Amino acid sequence: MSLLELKNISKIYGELKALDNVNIHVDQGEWVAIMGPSGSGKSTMMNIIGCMDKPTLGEVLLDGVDIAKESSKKLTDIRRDKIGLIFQQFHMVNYLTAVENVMVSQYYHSMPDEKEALDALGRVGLRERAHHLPSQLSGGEQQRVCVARALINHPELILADEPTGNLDEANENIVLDLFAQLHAEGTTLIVVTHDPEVADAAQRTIVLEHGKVAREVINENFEAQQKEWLARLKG
Amino acid sequence: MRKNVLPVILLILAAVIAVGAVTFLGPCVHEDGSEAACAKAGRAVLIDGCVLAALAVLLFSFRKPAVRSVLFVIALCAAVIGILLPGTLFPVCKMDVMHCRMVMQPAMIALFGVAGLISIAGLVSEKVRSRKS
Amino acid sequence: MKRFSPVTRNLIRKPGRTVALVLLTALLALSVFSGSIVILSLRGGLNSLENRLGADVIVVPSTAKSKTNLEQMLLQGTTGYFYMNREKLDKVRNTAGVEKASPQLFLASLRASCCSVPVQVIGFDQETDFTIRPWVAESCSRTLADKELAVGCRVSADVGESIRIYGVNCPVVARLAETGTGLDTAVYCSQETLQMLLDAARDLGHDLKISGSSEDVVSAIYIKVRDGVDPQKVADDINVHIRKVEAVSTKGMLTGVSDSLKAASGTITWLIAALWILALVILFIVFAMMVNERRRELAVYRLLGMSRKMLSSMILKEALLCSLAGALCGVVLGAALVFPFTTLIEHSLKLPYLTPAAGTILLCAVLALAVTVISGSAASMRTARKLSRVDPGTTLREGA
Repeated sequence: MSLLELKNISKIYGELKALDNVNIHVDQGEWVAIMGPSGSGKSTMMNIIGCMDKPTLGEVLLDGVDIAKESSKKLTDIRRDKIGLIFQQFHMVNYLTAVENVMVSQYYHSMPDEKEALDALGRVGLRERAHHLPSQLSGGEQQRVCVARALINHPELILADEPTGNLDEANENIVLDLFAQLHAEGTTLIVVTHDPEVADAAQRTIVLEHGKVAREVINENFEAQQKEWLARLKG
Repeated sequence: MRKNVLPVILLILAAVIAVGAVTFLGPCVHEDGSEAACAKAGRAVLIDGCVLAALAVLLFSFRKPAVRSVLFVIALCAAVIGILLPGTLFPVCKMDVMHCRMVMQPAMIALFGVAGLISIAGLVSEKVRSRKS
Repeated sequence: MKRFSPVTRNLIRKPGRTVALVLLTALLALSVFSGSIVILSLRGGLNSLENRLGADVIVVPSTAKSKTNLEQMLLQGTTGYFYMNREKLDKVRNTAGVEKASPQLFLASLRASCCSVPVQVIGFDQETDFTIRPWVAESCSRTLADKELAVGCRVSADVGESIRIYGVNCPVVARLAETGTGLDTAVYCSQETLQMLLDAARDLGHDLKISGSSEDVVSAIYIKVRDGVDPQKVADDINVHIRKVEAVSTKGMLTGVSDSLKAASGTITWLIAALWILALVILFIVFAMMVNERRRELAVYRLLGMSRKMLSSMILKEALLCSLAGALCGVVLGAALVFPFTTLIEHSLKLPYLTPAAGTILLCAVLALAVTVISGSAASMRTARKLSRVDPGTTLREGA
């Protein structure tokens, strides 16, 4: 079942077409990577899917609702209620502890619940670091906190923009393992990246070039990768 | 650095009290040089101010929360005594317009009162510090 | 479970900014509260002096010091004594336009047993007096017997105690209501008692520059003019026709005090205005600096789903909390400065000074709180509006 559909999406800035008549769909529970070089339109697409921007032309159907026509306030509500965001720069609030950064996400959604926030941190292996400030956490730990923050409100879609861009290989693997875990639980993931190795972890990769969809690549090895991951987890 | 903020404020207050007690915030001075009724109160305030200053200096020297808590408690007691010194524990002159009634008594009550609040803040801060560690 | 609020977390975890905002708003509240209490106290003192004087004209000996001594006695409680022949009283009573005239006798004691300083003793004619008698009557329903004293509220002697003046033990039978003037530091007795004290002082060798009997002198004559008569005309008449006296119109004395009060009030008002402008400018600057400092932080909140209205509201709540805390501190500090140091303020200003009633003080406190909280919050509104418009996507990409 389709969760997200971009139909004939274009984003035009004067003479420049950042996105040109793009059509993509993402099914419920799918893990999709959007890849492309700098200037390919990845960030623009990320902003549109993440309800931070509106397309010039076309429809954006999220769970059957065209969010392209919604007001700015409504987009904020949709972003809060349906989408969990993860960024390359982490974007944590520097004076809040790890658990408070997770609770902030709850604050404007429902009600902050410290126990639930601690459980979310536990899922990403950071319960014992819950009361540390971002300055006391490594890059990998900060990104894991952001994953917990993105998950806390049980969003329909996790949207990650270069989530491993600032991480070393070891932490990159930890984050990708987390994504694999989320996917196994049925979460829909869209990961925007320029890194082919990150894209290869996904079920399907959409390659953008000059604002258009150049090709779609299905990951034939995905099931084998999942089995290997599960085996590693059990081991 | 942060844990010395309150001792610094306490030291400044104690210095103002001690210096004030022998100058502009001190007891009445009779023209003929004889001792006014408030002279003892003035001396007591000076001694209490020096005690507070000594406690503030000790607070710089010790880092353990338990020791610092004890010092803050003693400072609080010194502050409370200081509030009671002019007028309650030691007499002051009877006329409202005398310097000790107009200036020394209210000023010392205010200064020792603030010192008391600083001591309480210090106690709370040490308690939080010991809980964190 | 601890309650979580980004508003309080921000205030606690950014202590420098929070303390700065609290101090600035405390300054606002302190200036308004203490300034208004001082101004109201000055006005109260002037009204009190007007009520207490009672007389339209006061006649004193024409020596240069007398008039000054009288004003200082009334306003600051400085002790003084001067005398003129009692026959002046009959001449004053016979002056056209005079409805009532009553004499008073003054004496300054030296180190009375109660006091470490000289205290002013004022003797009044219990039959003819119309200024002190009504005031004494508020605290003592009967006339004062020989040696009995009514004391002003600033004299350290209670009803039932005795004051020793020139060797004479005088029991205190009444404590008078506060006037906020120099009259609060004096003691009051019948004319006969004061004549007794004058004799006692002379017996102890003090030269009061009285020749003859103490019954033959008065210090001042208080005059009430008839309705419709100009007090200044009566004063001028007395000055022309009666030798060696000076008639002082109390309206003139009060005008002088009133002018001084206006000057003092004006100065205080300008001071408050200057402090306010300075504090508000700094507040605006602090909030303006916040725009750059917090842009990225608030962009994150927008990303997490905070609406513009929520963001504005968050900043306003922070400003409101800081303003409220600062306002409370300012009012408490203002009270700590103004009330314990009342005597010092009065002494320094050399003007009548009567602290307003508790209800008025409370009203001043509430007004200071309200004005400060509103101003502090208003100073943040521009910043709140600017920050709420932060575009999350663009802002977070800056510096990426």
